[in-house]
Amino acid sequence: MSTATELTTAPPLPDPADQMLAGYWEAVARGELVVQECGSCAAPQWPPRAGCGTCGLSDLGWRRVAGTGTLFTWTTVHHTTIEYYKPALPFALAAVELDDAPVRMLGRVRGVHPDQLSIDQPLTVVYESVAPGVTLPVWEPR
Amino acid sequence: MSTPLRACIAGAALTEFSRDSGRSAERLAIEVATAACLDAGVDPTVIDGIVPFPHGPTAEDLMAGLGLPDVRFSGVPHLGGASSVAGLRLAAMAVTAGQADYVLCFVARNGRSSSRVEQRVATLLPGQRYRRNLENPQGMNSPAQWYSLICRRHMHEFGTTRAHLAEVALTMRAHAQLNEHAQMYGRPMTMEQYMSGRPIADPYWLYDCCLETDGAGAVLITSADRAKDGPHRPVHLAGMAEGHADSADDIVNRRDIFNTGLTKAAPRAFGMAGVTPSDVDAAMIYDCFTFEVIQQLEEAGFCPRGGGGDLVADGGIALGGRLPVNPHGGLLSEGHIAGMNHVVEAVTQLRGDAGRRQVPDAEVVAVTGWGDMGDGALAVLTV
Ligand SMILES: [Zn+2]
Repeated sequence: MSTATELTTAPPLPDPADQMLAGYWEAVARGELVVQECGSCAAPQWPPRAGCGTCGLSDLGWRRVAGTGTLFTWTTVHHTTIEYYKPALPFALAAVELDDAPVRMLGRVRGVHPDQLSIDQPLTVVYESVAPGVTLPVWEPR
Repeated sequence: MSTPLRACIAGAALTEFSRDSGRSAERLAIEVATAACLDAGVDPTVIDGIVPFPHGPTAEDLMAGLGLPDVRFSGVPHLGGASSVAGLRLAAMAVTAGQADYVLCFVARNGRSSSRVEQRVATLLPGQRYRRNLENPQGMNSPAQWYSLICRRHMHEFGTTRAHLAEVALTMRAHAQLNEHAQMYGRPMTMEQYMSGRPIADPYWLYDCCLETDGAGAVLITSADRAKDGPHRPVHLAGMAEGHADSADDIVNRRDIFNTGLTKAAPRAFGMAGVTPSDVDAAMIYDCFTFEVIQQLEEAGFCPRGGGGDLVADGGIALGGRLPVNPHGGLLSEGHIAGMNHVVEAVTQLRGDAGRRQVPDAEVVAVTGWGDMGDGALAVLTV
């Protein structure tokens, strides 16, 4: 029965061995939000990729961002196949346009009923522990 | 402009659509391939090229199951739901280049009873790293969730409403009442029923979402010369193109979130065919969700961006309207075999064999495909 227990006590978890995202998860664990940044042209990009979408092959690093943004769009989830999230229904998944980098991040919104959301409303990141040693950035109104 | 491809659809077929076919997807593939060859008036052993859908029975399954002696061309388009339309181009390129004489394009699946949508997207979609690590942990894992993000933004920018989505759903359901093959034949829907569906991923409610279906569809593509000897009027593959959205692996970061593969593919396909959207007599639009019909009508150039709501309102996409869309009932009401049923319906309309749902004098039909995170394809079919 351990499988059923795992299903309900944690959401699907990120792959800890994924090298492309390691710097991002390290930052999240410190309570910081980062986006990928090109070492050649300084363009920020999200999600992290193996090359720079602006100038191609380059060294890629990380840029810390403030963790504030505005609500670009969202969907209100009323049906989910993920056991862990069934008690949370309905919840909003938002595309958040960051204030200090031209990228959007996908994240769950908490602290407000989905019916109260409006496009362009300001949001701020908070960190939520979902399993031992695993923290996710989620968003709240500010 | 690219060189026109010289190829025709000589045969087309569907199996019955159901919630439980009672047989394997491989068996469905063998049945529908045989039926498409019969429709073209040729023996299945003439097949020397195969374009399977990226998920489901393979080219080898057909070779072995039909006893094909020498298949010399195969290729798998990887555009998710747009693969059925993108595959036509692959087949036409092979025929035009003399690399195969008879190419069978097919989709066969037990999409309701066996491999349901969450299972398919977990292996098919591009950008699996982002799906698995950045989206699934947050609770996002279904096409209704991804695409409703685009829908809500469209509502904000252009005033599109749930009434517009309802118009699409109700039109598809009304069309299905004219098609005995449709899963929703004999099950008309009222606005009250539409509104009483439960929310899934708001703004998508139950009746904004396509069906899940067991079934198969296939077309046989060959040269115009060979097709003219067949029992049916050949349908010409006049223009075809595929396209890939900006930020192809991630919808959320598509700066212009309405930009899709179709935005880029449509002008190429119409250009190759030498026609414009205003020349199109009927459109088969990949209606995985109601809003995607509105979006694709805009991005394909049937109306300006933001004008899709007006186009679908007041019967605009119904039979007899300004642009009849999916007379068969589409993925929303005929059945979902990844748009191969849209290709088959285009053939049926162009042959003039659509009975009560026939678009009068249909000579130019456009078929769109939408897949993955916004890949797109468009084919212009003519007689
Ligand atoms: Zn760069």
